[in-house]
Amino acid sequence: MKSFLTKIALFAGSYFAAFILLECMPGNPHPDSLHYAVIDKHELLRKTENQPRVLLVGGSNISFGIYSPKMEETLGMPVIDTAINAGYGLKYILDDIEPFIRKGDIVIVMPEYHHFYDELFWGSTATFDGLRTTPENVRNIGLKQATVLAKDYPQRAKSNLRFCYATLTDSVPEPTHPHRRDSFNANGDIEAHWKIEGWDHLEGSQIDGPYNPATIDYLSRFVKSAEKKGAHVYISFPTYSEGSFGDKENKESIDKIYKELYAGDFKLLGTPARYSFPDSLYFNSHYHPYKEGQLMRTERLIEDLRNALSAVADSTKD
Amino acid sequence: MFFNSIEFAIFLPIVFLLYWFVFNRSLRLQNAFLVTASYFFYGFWDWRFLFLIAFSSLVDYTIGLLLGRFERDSVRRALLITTLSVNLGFLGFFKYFNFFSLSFARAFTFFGMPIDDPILLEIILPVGISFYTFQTLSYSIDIYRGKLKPTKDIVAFFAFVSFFPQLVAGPIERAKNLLPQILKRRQFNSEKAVDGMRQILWGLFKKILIADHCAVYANQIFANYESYSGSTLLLGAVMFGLQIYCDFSGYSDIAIGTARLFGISLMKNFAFPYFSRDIAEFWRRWHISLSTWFRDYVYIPLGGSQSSRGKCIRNIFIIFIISGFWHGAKWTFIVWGAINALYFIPLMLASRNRNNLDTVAEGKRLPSINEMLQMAMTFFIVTIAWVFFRSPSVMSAVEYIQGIFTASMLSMPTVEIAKLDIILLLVFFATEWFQREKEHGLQMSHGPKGRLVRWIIYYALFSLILNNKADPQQFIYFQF
Repeated sequence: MKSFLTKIALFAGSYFAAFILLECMPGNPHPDSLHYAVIDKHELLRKTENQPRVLLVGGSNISFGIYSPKMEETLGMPVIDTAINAGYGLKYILDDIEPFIRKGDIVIVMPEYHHFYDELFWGSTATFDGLRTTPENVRNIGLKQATVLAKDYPQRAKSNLRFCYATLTDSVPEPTHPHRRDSFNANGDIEAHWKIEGWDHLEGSQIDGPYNPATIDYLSRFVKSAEKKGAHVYISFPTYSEGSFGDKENKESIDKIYKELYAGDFKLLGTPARYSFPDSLYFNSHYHPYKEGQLMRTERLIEDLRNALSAVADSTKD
Repeated sequence: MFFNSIEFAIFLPIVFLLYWFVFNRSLRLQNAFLVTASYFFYGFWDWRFLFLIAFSSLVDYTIGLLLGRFERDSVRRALLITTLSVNLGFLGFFKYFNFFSLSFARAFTFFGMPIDDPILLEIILPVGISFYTFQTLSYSIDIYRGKLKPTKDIVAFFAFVSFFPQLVAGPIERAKNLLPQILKRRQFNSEKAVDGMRQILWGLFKKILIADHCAVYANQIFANYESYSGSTLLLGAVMFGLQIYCDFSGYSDIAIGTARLFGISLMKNFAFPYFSRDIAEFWRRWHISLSTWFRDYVYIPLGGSQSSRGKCIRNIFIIFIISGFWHGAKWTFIVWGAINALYFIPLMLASRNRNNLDTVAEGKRLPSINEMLQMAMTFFIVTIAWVFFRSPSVMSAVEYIQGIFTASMLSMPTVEIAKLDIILLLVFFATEWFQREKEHGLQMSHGPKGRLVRWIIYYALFSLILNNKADPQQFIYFQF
């Protein structure tokens, strides 16, 4: 038994040691990559914590799809776009933002539809990028989340290995716009993609996998916790190209999400259809609109938020 | 809990350590732990299934004891009928109710008495029910035949039925083999455990890197078979043939390897069947635990090959059709079974069904041209039969096969196989060929000699498995 356990420990241990070693190597993700924008966003959240703000929470559908200066101008209060990458998983995103929520904040969560299906809610390889830039978030990783992330770890290790090789050979590729830390504006949105051309072909996007009830449960928990702090939480919908939105199976998946959110008694802003625009307004993803789509969506969100806020004001008067 | 899941990767070491270090003080305690771990493993799918397996185990345990107590034939027969009714009743209800209901409705409609609204039940098929039902049945039948003494140890019996490595997809163990091992104190054998780990690694390689990769091509081609050339359809069928073999034998390798870690030897389920020289040899090497089950409990009681020629043919048809039906309540499985019977009967009539009892090219590096042709022919006819197994309906299978036998069969397939997959397939075939006289693909000599090579192989296979990009597919045989 002793020799057997020694062999197993040696085999597993050598893998584990290699993973740790690779994880300790610098460079993955690149210091100029968009993942490091979280530092600037956290800084912005700290700086503005003494006044009520609008906090936009979600994945890149927000950073590419909302123009916060416009919202700020219309609503007359600071708007902070906290979003970076949906691949972190909605749980990670909500856990990351929760400590920054203060009394009077208006929090608008706009999860990607994929967060409600399969295991993206728990995270993906991108979560490791998030953990590298914000190591303190490791304390929020739960057992189930760790299990899901463990499945993705080999891919992460491979990426670490590639980075390690590139560092040794001095060939680390520089991240390009719009996936850079300096692509974000002062509010945390990306504008760098407005002038990028050559993205005229979008592959079809499919919402795959089984429905994951954990997403709604966790959202509900998040709403309760934020409201306990005195914040107002709204759930809205991502912008999603008409081509993908119109797909029969996707439509059924999105309808299911809407029904569940509606039944869950969340405060909803708009409908999924309201934020879906023609394919020509999107560039490298069905969640990433060009400038025109970004501005259209922003205007609709402002309108929906205003209606919701005035409804609240009216009910308070009554 | 799937063998290729992270949950199992956590479950297995915990159970292993508790089994050998905490619950090893008494055999009864260790068996009780085995039952608990197995029920946890099984309940991971759906805890409601646990009631069914517990009830089935209790029935056979009780019937076994009663069979041991009574000597009168009529009572014993009644007891046997009871266990057959309960076990096959469950199986029939969960697996075949809707099939029969629909088939009756169609038959009545055909004879001008349409049934518009046949009774259909929304029932989930309990995972592995076909496997453990056959296992418990073999126990009662063997006691009835006087070939086995019933056990009074209820914990050991429950462990025999639910032993987690083979619970959901076999090998379908016989009580004669497994029960004595559970009733006896197990000793850890390092050499066997190391070999078990190798077998698990080989099973994972076959499942994750071969079966799941072949599934991508097979799924694509079978889903749009109308639009592909004959050669592409043939490629799709070959890919499915490889998928099902690597999926199921990979599962069996993991099951057998895992059992070895717990000091238990399970029966061999596959013996490199694609290196068979005729269909009879193929069936001696494919899903051995099921084939021998049908041989011992259906074929031989029907008279086997020791009866008239007509009866022999009837028996062959019965056993293959039941075997097809065992896989699922679909006509495609029944036709698949019938086709295999048609392949087999000429060999039996010519008394050539026991020609190839040895391993092909035994002791040689390469086969002769004649052996190669025989293997290729056997592989080809088996592959054609697989089309029925994989297709959604008999009609689509017929159309698929018609599509193969066209002039376009001589063209280049339009679906391209990735280079990595070609390399993996070559590695797989070469390994299986050179290891064909061994128990599994990674069986190697133990000892310091060649240690470096062995560890390089382990690292290479494990790294490939970890870095696999293909979508994980469910084990095909879990649905049976």
